[in-house]
Amino acid sequence: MRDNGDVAAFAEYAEACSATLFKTAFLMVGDHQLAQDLVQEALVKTLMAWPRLNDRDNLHAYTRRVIVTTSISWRRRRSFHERPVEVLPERHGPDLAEAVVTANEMVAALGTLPPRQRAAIVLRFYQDLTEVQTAEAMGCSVGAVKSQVSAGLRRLREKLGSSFDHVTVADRGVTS
Amino acid sequence: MTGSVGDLLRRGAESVAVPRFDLDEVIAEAGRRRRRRRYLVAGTAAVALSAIAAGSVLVAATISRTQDPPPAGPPSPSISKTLGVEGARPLVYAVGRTVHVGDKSVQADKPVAFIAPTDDGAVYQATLDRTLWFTDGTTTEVLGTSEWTAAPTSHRGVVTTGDSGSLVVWADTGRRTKRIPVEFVVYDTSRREEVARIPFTAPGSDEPVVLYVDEDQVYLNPDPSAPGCWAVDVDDIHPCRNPQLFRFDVATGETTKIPVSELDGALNARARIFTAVTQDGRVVYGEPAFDLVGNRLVASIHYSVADDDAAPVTLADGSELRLRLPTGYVPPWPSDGEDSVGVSQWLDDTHVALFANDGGGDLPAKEGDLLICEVPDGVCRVAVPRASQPYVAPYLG
Repeated sequence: MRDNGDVAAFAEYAEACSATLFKTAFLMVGDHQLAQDLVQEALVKTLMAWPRLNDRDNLHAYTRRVIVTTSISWRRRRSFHERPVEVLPERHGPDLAEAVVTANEMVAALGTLPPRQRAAIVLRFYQDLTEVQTAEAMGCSVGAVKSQVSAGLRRLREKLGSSFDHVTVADRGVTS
Repeated sequence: MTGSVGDLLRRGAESVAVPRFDLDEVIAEAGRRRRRRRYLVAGTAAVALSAIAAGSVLVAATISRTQDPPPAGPPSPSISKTLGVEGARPLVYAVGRTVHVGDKSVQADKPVAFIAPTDDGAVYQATLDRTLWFTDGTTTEVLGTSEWTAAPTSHRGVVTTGDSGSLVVWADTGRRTKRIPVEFVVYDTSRREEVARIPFTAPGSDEPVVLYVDEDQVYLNPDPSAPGCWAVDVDDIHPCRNPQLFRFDVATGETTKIPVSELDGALNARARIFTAVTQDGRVVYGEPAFDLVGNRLVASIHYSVADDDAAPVTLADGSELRLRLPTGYVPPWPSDGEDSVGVSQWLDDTHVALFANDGGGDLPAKEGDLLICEVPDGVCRVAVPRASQPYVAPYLG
């Protein structure tokens, strides 16, 4: 089917990146099984494009873009039989598990965002991409990224209430 | 609550167990899709271009997932507005559990994930469910179970139907208990019965490929790793001088080995096929890509995956196929996104249904519009306008 060296190189790449890709996919779709399917699909598309991907440094960017575009489409398709999370996980008092609990709250709140806002938030704050890189991954303009991030943060603030005031909205702040 | 948004997301992601990915399945699936694309662009015709273009229909396997079949439920007929073309195949699509067949619709037991047309109605399947259903828009029945199911991210290839006729072909385990397909089932939706079983020829490490189905015959490629010179081969497309495939005749039950040129000739003689002429004069057929120019969709066929070469879809008079969107039509795709129009299904020799979605991805499920266009005049109308729920339509790509 293809050069064995290509397959070996792809397998090496997939082994190295699949965990990171899966975590990104999980944040994108909020479901373990769906995230697994999403990464599987992204890896298939990456392998199909492998001969054209001359710049191996951009492999991860290519696969990430596949995950983003597919997850956006996919979440739209699934939206008719899935309801957004209306009730966030109950907040616990301050204890050793607080970090995990608040992280769960954030992930749950993230799940209520529309697909593009969610993708923009994940790419900017989880993947720590610049606005330009985020725009590239989402296939849109930098201006669109800015508006999606802004709208996403606003919605997270609405969902999380006053507790969001203690969250640092820090990112790289780099636009080029 | 402390920390940054990024810190919280990282903690949330770190708490999730990372599964082990089946790279063998990834590599196998990529190989299957690659072979389909190669065959798609490899058809060459010795005859001059004479046919009006039509959609490619070369599909085969997809990822296999299994789940218990749903119970059969009573059909719930209802009437909707006239959607299709008089005297032609009914336009078929599904929205959630509602399966539309022309002016009629029935309720499935689960949301539909895959649908394919025949002259008589629609074959459909739920996500990750092996049960194949058929409906004529009034009644429903179980055709059987398919080993290749509609996975959430890969819908194509569950069954193969023709652009005309009543035949449906899918892979089946036969009477074996292990879930490894060993034969194709051929079902006739006009007779409502199974009409043939085709054992896999030269089974090996991969699955045979259904290349094309017409009214009476099934064109098959054996396992591409089988020794020989095949239309779809593990090494390359047409790697030898006289690549071959099998043609199964439903009436006689006979399988004949034929050169690929016979299939190419048969395809180019059909009306429901899109063709283009490459720079070096070859006639190729395949699913067209569409570019929006003004209010026209300009169709082209990509014939070189590596170089991304494309040739315009041409009509019998040599002119390019350009479809006109309805006056005042607002495309559903965003201005900063990709255009996304694809061929869904042929209704007759001069009417083809397209889906126009929002450019968000490459899945058959769409949230845009279903358009019906006349070929070669190019006049298009909206048959099913976008709604709040996405729909699942046949996809010939």
